[in-house]
Amino acid sequence: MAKILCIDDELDVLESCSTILKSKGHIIKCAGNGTDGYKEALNFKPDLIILDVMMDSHTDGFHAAYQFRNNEKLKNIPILMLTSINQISKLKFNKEKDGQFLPVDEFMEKPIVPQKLLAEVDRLLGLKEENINREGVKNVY
Amino acid sequence: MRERVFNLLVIDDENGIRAGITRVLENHRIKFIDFDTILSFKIYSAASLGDSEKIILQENFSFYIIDYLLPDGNGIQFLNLLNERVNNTYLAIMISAHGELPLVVNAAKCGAFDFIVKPFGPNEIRSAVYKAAEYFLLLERNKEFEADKKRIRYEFISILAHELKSPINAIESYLNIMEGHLQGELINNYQRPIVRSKTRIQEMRKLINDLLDLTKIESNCRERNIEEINLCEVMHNCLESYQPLAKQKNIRINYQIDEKLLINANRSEIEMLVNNLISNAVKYNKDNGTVDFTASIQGKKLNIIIVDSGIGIAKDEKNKLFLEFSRIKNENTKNISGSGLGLSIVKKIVDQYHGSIEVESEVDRGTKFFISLTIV
Ligand SMILES: Nc1ncnc2c1ncn2[C@@H]1O[C@H](COP(=O)(O)OP(=O)(O)OP(=O)(O)O)[C@@H](O)[C@H]1O
Ligand SMILES: [Mg+2]
Repeated sequence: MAKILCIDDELDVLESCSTILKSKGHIIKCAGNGTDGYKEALNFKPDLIILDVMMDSHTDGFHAAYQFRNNEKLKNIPILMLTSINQISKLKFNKEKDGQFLPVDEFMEKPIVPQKLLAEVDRLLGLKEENINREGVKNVY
Repeated sequence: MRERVFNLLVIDDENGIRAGITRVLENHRIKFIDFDTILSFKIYSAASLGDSEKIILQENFSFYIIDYLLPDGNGIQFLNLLNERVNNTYLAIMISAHGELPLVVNAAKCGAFDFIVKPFGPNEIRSAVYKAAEYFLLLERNKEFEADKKRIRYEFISILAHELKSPINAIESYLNIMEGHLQGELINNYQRPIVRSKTRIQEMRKLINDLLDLTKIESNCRERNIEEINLCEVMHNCLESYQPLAKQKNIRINYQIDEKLLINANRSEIEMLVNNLISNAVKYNKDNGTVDFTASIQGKKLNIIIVDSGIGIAKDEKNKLFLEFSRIKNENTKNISGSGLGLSIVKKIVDQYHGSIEVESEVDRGTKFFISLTIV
């Protein structure tokens, strides 16, 4: 059983994640945007963060990821990033050129498949601190 | 003004003509105010088909001046060569002797842009080159327009794809939960996923209908039937659709329209316009709020004012209102659904009637839309 924070601007994604994760006894908190998510994380001290790319507000999801990594208390929490097919490539985020790589530990495409989500969550919860992708690693995606 | 230098190739076996054309165009500058461009040429020359074949492999040319009769072939052969080998935009001017009309017609078919008939002087050269240069810039501009159109279309479709994918993903996620029996064996446990899925489907249907409305207005092929419409009647029908939602929030919709107010317009357009504005005025209103709708005729103008006592719109969000798929996201709007097309539809209709639309708003106090349509 773990504490998991879900951040997405879409109600249905939050509800689906909650339902799936609660069925395994996890404790879930939700936030509707990056700013609220960051605040919630400081209070809730989650063991894992599930973060949406959040296309609607452009780079909100990316921004949140960097914010977590820059906070001493939060930087070692594994992050699972939710995306929709073809989404990353469309954003004006040039991974190659800027040498910036997303500091997240795994990507997962929607729709959410319970078994996959649960397996990924288990794997990420077991991740050792030294294996957390704090800097952003080249071939993560 | 932008200074631009274009490569121009003169192909003629007569030394004198090559030198003459070069002298005339070498320091010639043409000013095109409409294109904000000062244009000049870098001149190359060739004495035969063989020579020119070599040069076009090394340089890109925008303009050619070609003598029809060459020692090792003719101008049409050269045009065919260009057709085959060259990808950039170019214009060719052909020099021909008097009375070669059939040849000239043929050259036009092969892509010659213009002709100069021998004997000619500097003025003939300059005016032919002027015409070609102007046309060249026009072609370039059209290409840019086309590229812009493609880009806008691409962006539209990308956003649309995203808008369609979200509900499908949401519904599929819920179905996965049900399929996996994650909330137990009883169907009653799944009310929430079912209700949410149905909501998402309804929203998607609304999006599709909005899209159809949007393209209906944009396409000119549909017959646009203009008839006499009673605005009161339109309002009545509209109220029937939005009264239930208004009742839920205890919102009063008042309207002031002369019962005899008749306008000449397209019925479905006016319905869409009124529906979208009333829909917003109700959706973005507060409990116990009001909506006031007034319409009046002033000369050839139909003026409509819609005032609501709702959540209002912040100043810096105003310019986004009429963009396709644009919705304002904040605490007040997060539970209100919509496709973000309503006001783009309204704007398109207003444009059809050479009208105007203006917004005044105060956050937390309410919003006023002023619409003026030209009704002939
Ligand atoms: N009367 C209003 N008061 C406050 N905000 C408004 C009002 N009308 C429109 N808006 C804001 O402008 C945005 C765009 O409106 P628009 O009608 O184009 O889209 P929508 O209502 O979100 O979706 P749709 O009408 O396609 O269902 C809305 O999302 C809302 O935030
Ligand atoms: Mg609307």
